[in-house]
Amino acid sequence: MRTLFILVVASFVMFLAPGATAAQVVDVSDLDQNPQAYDGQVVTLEGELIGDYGIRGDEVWVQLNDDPYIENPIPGGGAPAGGNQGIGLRIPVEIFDPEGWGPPGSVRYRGPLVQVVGEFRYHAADASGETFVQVVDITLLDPARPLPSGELGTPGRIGIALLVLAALIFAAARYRARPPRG
Amino acid sequence: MPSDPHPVVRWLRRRAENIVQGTRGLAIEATIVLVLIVVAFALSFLVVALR
Amino acid sequence: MLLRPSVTDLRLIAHDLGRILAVVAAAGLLPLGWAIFRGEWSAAGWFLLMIGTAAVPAAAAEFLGWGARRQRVDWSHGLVVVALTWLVVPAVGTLPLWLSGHWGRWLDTFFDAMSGITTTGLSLVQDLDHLPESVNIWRHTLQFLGGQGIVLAALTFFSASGALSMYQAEGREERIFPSVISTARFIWLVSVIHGVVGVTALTVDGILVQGFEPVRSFFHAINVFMAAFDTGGFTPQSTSIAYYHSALYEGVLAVLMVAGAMSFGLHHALWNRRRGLLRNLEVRTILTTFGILLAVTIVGLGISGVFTHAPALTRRGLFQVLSAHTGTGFSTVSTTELSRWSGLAFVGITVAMALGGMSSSTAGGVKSLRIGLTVKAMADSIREALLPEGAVVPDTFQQYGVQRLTPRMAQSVMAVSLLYVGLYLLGAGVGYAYGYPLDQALFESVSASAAVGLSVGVTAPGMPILMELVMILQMWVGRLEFVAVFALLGFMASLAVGE
Repeated sequence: MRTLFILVVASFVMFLAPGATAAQVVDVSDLDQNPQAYDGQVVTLEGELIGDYGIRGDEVWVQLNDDPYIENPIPGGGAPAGGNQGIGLRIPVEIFDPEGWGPPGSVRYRGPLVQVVGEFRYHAADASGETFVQVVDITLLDPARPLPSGELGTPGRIGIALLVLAALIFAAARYRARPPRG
Repeated sequence: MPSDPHPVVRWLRRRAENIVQGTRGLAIEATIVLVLIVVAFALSFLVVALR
Repeated sequence: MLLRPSVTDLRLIAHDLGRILAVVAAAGLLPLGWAIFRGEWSAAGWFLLMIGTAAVPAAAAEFLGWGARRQRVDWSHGLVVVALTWLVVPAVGTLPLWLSGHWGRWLDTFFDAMSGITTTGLSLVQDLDHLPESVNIWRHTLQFLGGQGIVLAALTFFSASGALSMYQAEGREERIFPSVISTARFIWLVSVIHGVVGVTALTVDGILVQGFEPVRSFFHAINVFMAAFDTGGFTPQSTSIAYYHSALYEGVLAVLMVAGAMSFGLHHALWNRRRGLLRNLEVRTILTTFGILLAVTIVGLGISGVFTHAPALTRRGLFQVLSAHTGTGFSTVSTTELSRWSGLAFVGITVAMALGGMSSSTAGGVKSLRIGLTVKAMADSIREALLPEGAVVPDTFQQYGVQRLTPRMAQSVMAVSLLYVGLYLLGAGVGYAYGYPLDQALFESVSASAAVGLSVGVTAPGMPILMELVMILQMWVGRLEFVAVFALLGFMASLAVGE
């Protein structure tokens, strides 16, 4: 009920004053730096859905990252550029579309890039103190794409050679340590 | 005189005893956490109410 | 006069290190198996390389048989093996981390491997959210190996003379059974039972409450179990435990953290329904310090206005104090938010980290028994000064029976406590010299030295190299509780200038 109410109010606000939502385009770091200032505000965020889709009844929890890796994750050839930056999203199941979006980001996928509009909740009293964005609208910008799973490669081949060598040495040690016959 | 139980039976008995003991340990640890939650909640409630 | 170690001494040390590398090779099978199961082929290659690198010296140690004719039980030899183990294992353990490309420089991977094995939990990983699952499992396995005591793990499989010194050098004073091997087996038994129950509870919670896919839920469960029970603090996702958005999950982890910070002696006493445990000095100390610091933190957070509702304050406040006092380092608030916890809340968390868990547990810090004994020694001195001359102040305390606090014991306890304070100040000084605010530098320094892992943002990729080295040193020295490190330094001195 509450979700529906927020959805209606937010849509109304967006329809009447598009400038108001445009002014609220934020980064995760803005929310992290000034949580009390944004608490209860409708904000717009862009980023990659990552980790797991936690489907809990009529809502889905997922993390949204907006760090440098949303375009170039390290397994896809990106360079290290600091830590991740993310926030939890609570999405009503009615606007959750895993088939259209693709799997969340991981080592196997660059997750779907989305734009979300929602209310920022800081230590929400009705959610036992969770901090998250209650999503009212979500737009897919780019669906998930698979990342290369790679191959055993040179490290793997050297590793196998070393293991064979270790096995030979171990066998020789056992042979030498065998009890004398008779 | 009763004969000694088979080693496998002895081993299984020991493990079953360990599981009972371990469960007792875990129950006590969970109780500690529950007590902590109650204490922390009482404190929080007081602090928020008095503020 | 220092005696130069003989070739036999060096061979014995090499032999023991070889056997410990066999444990590393065996432990590497877990992430390798996961990499194959999940089709992470590059990562499988990295683990094969690491396992091979550890297996060759392990096999060579077996072949050379240098340890076969061990003649004497040498106390310092055991200490040296432990100190070296805790350098060699993280060095070998960096291989898959470095090859993954998720760390900026090799030293960062060594930092993380050291943080793992010392069960600290500070991390310099970049783009953790895209890290291969198998590499994540390896990070957490390092915490498990370190928490259990890797040398203890080796002792379980290979009986060795000198076992007692190695066992105690890993920061465990007490033996539960007369033999170290049976004590080691008991420690494994406790861990396995907590493991089965913990992983099952977390997996089921993950599937039924959080709605994760079963395989992913198991993946999260096995990782956070290893980090919680061994008071490590690594997590598979960048937002730590806040990622799970679940009070129930946090509750299960809280039970595991409490179990991890309890000494194995206490586990044994609980398992066998020993009575009168509340009379134990260590149990009383940790309950008292925990109660006081919980109150201090909650009052601090309440006054600062960060939380305005009691349930939220309870959940966040209790979890953070528990994480700090048990030396775990899990967090349910962001690093930025934690850095804003000032005043009493800052004091509560920092002191909780500095005190640490129980001795002979997987937690770090000064440890409750030392705190209790230090307070008792000081109180006794004051009492002696106040009472009339000739009055007798009892020098006994309860710790699984009546024990005597001898002047020698009091001296040693106070010396180690003081060394910890020195270690905390060292890191704080270095951080401050690099321009970090003093409170943040102190927080991070205590977190590293006491093997906690909470961070206010000082530990970050690109941090000054000297500071990184100091923190590595703090984690190593703090986890081994000084003695083994001093023995290694003495050993090196005797190699250089001994006769």
